[in-house]
Amino acid sequence: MFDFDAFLETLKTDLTEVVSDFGEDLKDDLLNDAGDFAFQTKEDLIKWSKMLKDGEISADDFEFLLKAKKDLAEMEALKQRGLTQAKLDKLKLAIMDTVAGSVKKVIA
Amino acid sequence: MLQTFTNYIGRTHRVAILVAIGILLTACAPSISQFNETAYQQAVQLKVKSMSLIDKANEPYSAHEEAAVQLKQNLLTAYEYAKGRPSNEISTRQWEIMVDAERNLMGGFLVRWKEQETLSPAFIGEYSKVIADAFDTIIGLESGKIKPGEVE
Repeated sequence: MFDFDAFLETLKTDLTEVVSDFGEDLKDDLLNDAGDFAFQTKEDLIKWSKMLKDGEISADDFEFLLKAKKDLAEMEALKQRGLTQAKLDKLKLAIMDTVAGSVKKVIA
Repeated sequence: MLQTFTNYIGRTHRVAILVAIGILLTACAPSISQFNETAYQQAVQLKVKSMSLIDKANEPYSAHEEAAVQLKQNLLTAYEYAKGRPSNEISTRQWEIMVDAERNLMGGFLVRWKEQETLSPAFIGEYSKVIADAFDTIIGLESGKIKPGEVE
Protein backbone atom coordinates (compact mmCIF):
# COMPACT_ATOMS: atom_id res chain seq x y z
CA MET A 1 0.00 0.00 0.00
CA PHE A 2 1.22 3.49 -0.84
CA ASP A 3 2.75 5.27 2.19
CA PHE A 4 0.87 8.55 2.00
CA ASP A 5 2.32 9.93 5.25
CA ALA A 6 5.89 9.44 4.01
CA PHE A 7 4.95 11.12 0.74
CA LEU A 8 3.38 14.05 2.60
CA GLU A 9 6.50 14.56 4.74
CA THR A 10 8.79 14.51 1.68
CA LEU A 11 6.51 16.91 -0.12
CA LYS A 12 6.46 19.37 2.80
CA THR A 13 10.26 19.29 3.02
CA ASP A 14 10.57 19.98 -0.71
CA LEU A 15 8.04 22.80 -0.59
CA THR A 16 9.70 24.50 2.37
CA GLU A 17 12.36 25.70 -0.07
CA VAL A 18 9.75 27.16 -2.42
CA VAL A 19 8.20 29.32 0.32
CA SER A 20 11.41 29.97 2.27
CA ASP A 21 11.64 33.71 1.60
CA PHE A 22 8.27 34.47 3.19
CA GLY A 23 7.66 35.45 6.80
CA GLU A 24 7.08 32.64 9.28
CA ASP A 25 3.30 33.18 9.49
CA LEU A 26 2.86 33.29 5.73
CA LYS A 27 5.23 30.36 5.28
CA ASP A 28 3.14 28.25 7.66
CA ASP A 29 -0.03 29.22 5.79
CA LEU A 30 1.51 28.27 2.45
CA LEU A 31 2.75 24.94 3.81
CA ASN A 32 -0.68 24.24 5.27
CA ASP A 33 -2.17 24.99 1.83
CA ALA A 34 0.30 22.52 0.36
CA GLY A 35 -0.72 19.96 2.97
CA ASP A 36 -4.38 20.52 2.10
CA PHE A 37 -3.49 20.09 -1.56
CA ALA A 38 -1.72 16.81 -0.79
CA PHE A 39 -4.68 15.50 1.17
CA GLN A 40 -6.97 16.45 -1.71
CA THR A 41 -4.81 14.25 -3.94
CA LYS A 42 -4.68 11.37 -1.49
CA GLU A 43 -7.50 9.69 -3.40
CA ASP A 44 -5.46 9.77 -6.63
CA LEU A 45 -2.41 8.33 -4.94
CA ILE A 46 -4.36 5.45 -3.42
CA LYS A 47 -6.06 4.85 -6.79
CA TRP A 48 -2.69 4.72 -8.58
CA SER A 49 -1.24 2.29 -6.04
CA LYS A 50 -4.24 0.03 -6.69
CA MET A 51 -3.76 0.37 -10.47
CA LEU A 52 -0.12 -0.59 -9.98
CA LYS A 53 -1.08 -3.61 -7.88
CA ASP A 54 -3.66 -4.68 -10.50
CA GLY A 55 -1.13 -4.31 -13.32
CA GLU A 56 -3.02 -1.51 -15.10
CA ILE A 57 0.05 0.73 -14.92
CA SER A 58 3.72 -0.15 -14.63
CA ALA A 59 6.04 0.75 -11.76
CA ASP A 60 7.62 3.36 -14.07
CA ASP A 61 4.18 4.82 -14.83
CA PHE A 62 3.44 5.00 -11.11
CA GLU A 63 6.73 6.69 -10.31
CA PHE A 64 6.28 9.16 -13.17
CA LEU A 65 2.75 10.04 -11.99
CA LEU A 66 3.95 10.47 -8.43
CA LYS A 67 6.76 12.80 -9.46
CA ALA A 68 4.38 14.72 -11.73
CA LYS A 69 2.10 15.18 -8.73
CA LYS A 70 5.00 16.58 -6.72
CA ASP A 71 5.79 18.98 -9.58
CA LEU A 72 2.14 19.97 -9.58
CA ALA A 73 2.28 20.63 -5.82
CA GLU A 74 5.23 22.97 -6.42
CA MET A 75 3.33 24.73 -9.21
CA GLU A 76 0.35 25.15 -6.87
CA ALA A 77 2.58 26.57 -4.11
CA LEU A 78 4.05 29.03 -6.62
CA LYS A 79 0.56 30.05 -7.70
CA GLN A 80 -0.47 30.70 -4.08
CA ARG A 81 2.72 32.67 -3.51
CA GLY A 82 2.07 34.78 -6.64
CA LEU A 83 -1.55 35.39 -5.73
CA THR A 84 -0.49 36.49 -2.24
CA GLN A 85 1.93 38.99 -3.78
CA ALA A 86 -0.79 40.23 -6.16
CA LYS A 87 -3.16 40.74 -3.21
CA LEU A 88 -0.49 42.71 -1.34
CA ASP A 89 0.09 44.83 -4.47
CA LYS A 90 -3.64 45.54 -4.69
CA LEU A 91 -3.63 46.58 -1.02
CA LYS A 92 -0.64 48.88 -1.60
CA LEU A 93 -2.41 50.46 -4.58
CA ALA A 94 -5.54 51.03 -2.50
CA ILE A 95 -3.46 52.67 0.26
CA MET A 96 -1.64 54.81 -2.30
CA ASP A 97 -4.96 55.98 -3.81
CA THR A 98 -6.22 56.90 -0.34
CA VAL A 99 -3.02 58.81 0.50
CA ALA A 100 -3.11 60.61 -2.86
CA GLY A 101 -6.75 61.54 -2.26
CA SER A 102 -5.95 62.92 1.19
CA VAL A 103 -3.00 64.95 -0.14
CA LYS A 104 -5.20 66.45 -2.87
CA LYS A 105 -7.75 67.53 -0.25
CA VAL A 106 -5.04 69.16 1.90
CA ILE A 107 -3.29 71.08 -0.88
CA ALA A 108 -6.46 72.06 -2.74
CA MET B 1 8.13 90.45 1.97
CA LEU B 2 5.73 88.43 4.15
CA GLN B 3 3.74 87.44 1.06
CA THR B 4 6.95 86.27 -0.67
CA PHE B 5 7.91 84.23 2.41
CA THR B 6 4.43 82.65 2.55
CA ASN B 7 4.66 81.78 -1.14
CA TYR B 8 8.11 80.30 -0.56
CA ILE B 9 6.85 78.13 2.32
CA GLY B 10 3.84 77.09 0.25
CA ARG B 11 6.03 76.08 -2.66
CA THR B 12 8.45 74.23 -0.38
CA HIS B 13 5.58 72.44 1.30
CA ARG B 14 4.08 71.38 -2.03
CA VAL B 15 7.45 70.25 -3.36
CA ALA B 16 7.97 68.21 -0.17
CA ILE B 17 4.57 66.59 -0.62
CA LEU B 18 5.35 65.78 -4.25
CA VAL B 19 8.71 64.29 -3.24
CA ALA B 20 6.97 62.22 -0.54
CA ILE B 21 4.45 60.98 -3.09
CA GLY B 22 7.30 60.12 -5.44
CA ILE B 23 9.00 58.08 -2.70
CA LEU B 24 5.68 56.44 -1.90
CA LEU B 25 5.15 55.56 -5.56
CA THR B 26 8.59 53.97 -5.72
CA ALA B 27 8.02 52.02 -2.50
CA CYS B 28 4.68 50.84 -3.81
CA ALA B 29 6.01 49.52 -7.12
CA PRO B 30 4.24 46.22 -7.79
CA SER B 31 6.17 43.16 -6.58
CA ILE B 32 4.63 40.95 -9.26
CA SER B 33 3.89 41.64 -12.92
CA GLN B 34 0.47 42.81 -14.02
CA PHE B 35 -1.98 40.58 -15.88
CA ASN B 36 -0.91 40.01 -19.47
CA GLU B 37 -3.53 38.96 -22.03
CA THR B 38 -0.95 37.38 -24.37
CA ALA B 39 0.51 35.25 -21.55
CA TYR B 40 -2.99 34.18 -20.51
CA GLN B 41 -4.03 33.20 -24.06
CA GLN B 42 -0.70 31.44 -24.58
CA ALA B 43 -1.22 29.29 -21.48
CA VAL B 44 -4.82 28.42 -22.41
CA GLN B 45 -3.87 27.46 -25.99
CA LEU B 46 -0.90 25.38 -24.84
CA LYS B 47 -3.10 23.56 -22.33
CA VAL B 48 -5.52 22.59 -25.12
CA LYS B 49 -2.70 21.54 -27.49
CA SER B 50 -0.91 19.56 -24.77
CA MET B 51 -4.06 17.72 -23.71
CA SER B 52 -4.80 16.88 -27.33
CA LEU B 53 -1.33 15.46 -27.91
CA ILE B 54 -1.26 13.51 -24.62
CA ASP B 55 -4.49 11.80 -25.74
CA LYS B 56 -2.57 10.41 -28.73
CA ALA B 57 0.32 9.00 -26.71
CA ASN B 58 -1.02 5.43 -26.99
CA GLU B 59 -0.04 5.75 -30.67
CA PRO B 60 3.63 5.66 -31.79
CA TYR B 61 5.61 8.82 -31.02
CA SER B 62 7.13 8.68 -34.51
CA ALA B 63 3.66 9.21 -36.00
CA HIS B 64 3.30 12.46 -34.03
CA GLU B 65 6.90 13.61 -33.86
CA GLU B 66 6.30 16.78 -35.86
CA ALA B 67 3.44 17.85 -33.58
CA ALA B 68 5.49 16.96 -30.49
CA VAL B 69 8.48 19.01 -31.65
CA GLN B 70 6.19 21.93 -32.52
CA LEU B 71 4.53 21.76 -29.11
CA LYS B 72 7.89 21.70 -27.36
CA GLN B 73 8.92 24.82 -29.31
CA ASN B 74 5.69 26.57 -28.33
CA LEU B 75 6.19 25.64 -24.67
CA LEU B 76 9.74 27.00 -24.76
CA THR B 77 8.44 30.19 -26.41
CA ALA B 78 5.96 30.64 -23.55
CA TYR B 79 8.78 30.11 -21.04
CA GLU B 80 10.98 32.70 -22.77
CA TYR B 81 8.06 35.14 -22.98
CA ALA B 82 7.45 34.77 -19.23
CA LYS B 83 11.16 35.16 -18.52
CA GLY B 84 11.31 38.40 -20.50
CA ARG B 85 8.56 40.13 -18.53
CA PRO B 86 9.67 42.28 -15.58
CA SER B 87 8.81 41.11 -12.03
CA ASN B 88 7.58 37.83 -13.44
CA GLU B 89 9.86 35.37 -11.63
CA ILE B 90 7.08 33.23 -10.18
CA SER B 91 5.31 32.59 -13.50
CA THR B 92 8.72 31.99 -15.09
CA ARG B 93 9.49 29.37 -12.44
CA GLN B 94 6.16 27.67 -13.20
CA TRP B 95 6.99 27.48 -16.92
CA GLU B 96 10.49 26.26 -16.07
CA ILE B 97 9.01 23.30 -14.18
CA MET B 98 6.52 22.68 -17.01
CA VAL B 99 9.18 22.49 -19.76
CA ASP B 100 12.03 20.86 -17.80
CA ALA B 101 12.94 17.61 -19.58
CA GLU B 102 14.41 16.25 -16.33
CA ARG B 103 11.14 16.67 -14.46
CA ASN B 104 7.72 15.10 -14.96
CA LEU B 105 5.41 17.63 -16.56
CA MET B 106 5.28 18.38 -20.32
CA GLY B 107 9.05 18.48 -20.86
CA GLY B 108 9.54 15.11 -19.18
CA PHE B 109 6.43 13.64 -20.78
CA LEU B 110 7.64 14.34 -24.33
CA VAL B 111 10.98 12.72 -23.53
CA ARG B 112 9.30 9.66 -22.00
CA TRP B 113 6.91 9.24 -24.94
CA LYS B 114 9.80 9.45 -27.40
CA GLU B 115 11.83 6.92 -25.43
CA GLN B 116 9.00 4.43 -24.96
CA GLU B 117 7.34 5.03 -28.37
CA THR B 118 3.85 4.34 -26.93
CA LEU B 119 2.30 4.83 -23.49
CA SER B 120 -0.55 2.93 -21.88
CA PRO B 121 -4.11 4.32 -22.03
CA ALA B 122 -4.45 3.89 -18.25
CA PHE B 123 -1.35 6.02 -17.65
CA ILE B 124 -2.49 8.61 -20.21
CA GLY B 125 -5.90 8.89 -18.57
CA GLU B 126 -4.39 9.65 -15.16
CA TYR B 127 -1.53 11.78 -16.42
CA SER B 128 -3.70 14.10 -18.51
CA LYS B 129 -5.56 15.14 -15.33
CA VAL B 130 -2.29 16.10 -13.64
CA ILE B 131 -1.20 18.15 -16.66
CA ALA B 132 -4.57 19.91 -16.86
CA ASP B 133 -4.20 20.92 -13.21
CA ALA B 134 -0.60 22.05 -13.79
CA PHE B 135 -1.65 24.36 -16.64
CA ASP B 136 -4.49 25.64 -14.45
CA THR B 137 -1.95 26.82 -11.86
CA ILE B 138 -0.26 28.97 -14.54
CA ILE B 139 -3.58 30.24 -15.87
CA GLY B 140 -4.91 30.83 -12.34
CA LEU B 141 -1.90 32.89 -11.33
CA GLU B 142 -1.99 35.00 -14.48
CA SER B 143 -5.70 35.73 -14.12
CA GLY B 144 -5.21 36.64 -10.43
CA LYS B 145 -2.69 39.37 -11.19
CA ILE B 146 -3.62 43.05 -11.13
CA LYS B 147 -5.38 44.06 -14.36
CA PRO B 148 -4.01 47.17 -16.13
CA GLY B 149 -7.37 48.91 -15.52
CA GLU B 150 -6.93 48.50 -11.76
CA VAL B 151 -3.74 50.62 -11.82
CA GLU B 152 -4.38 54.34 -12.15
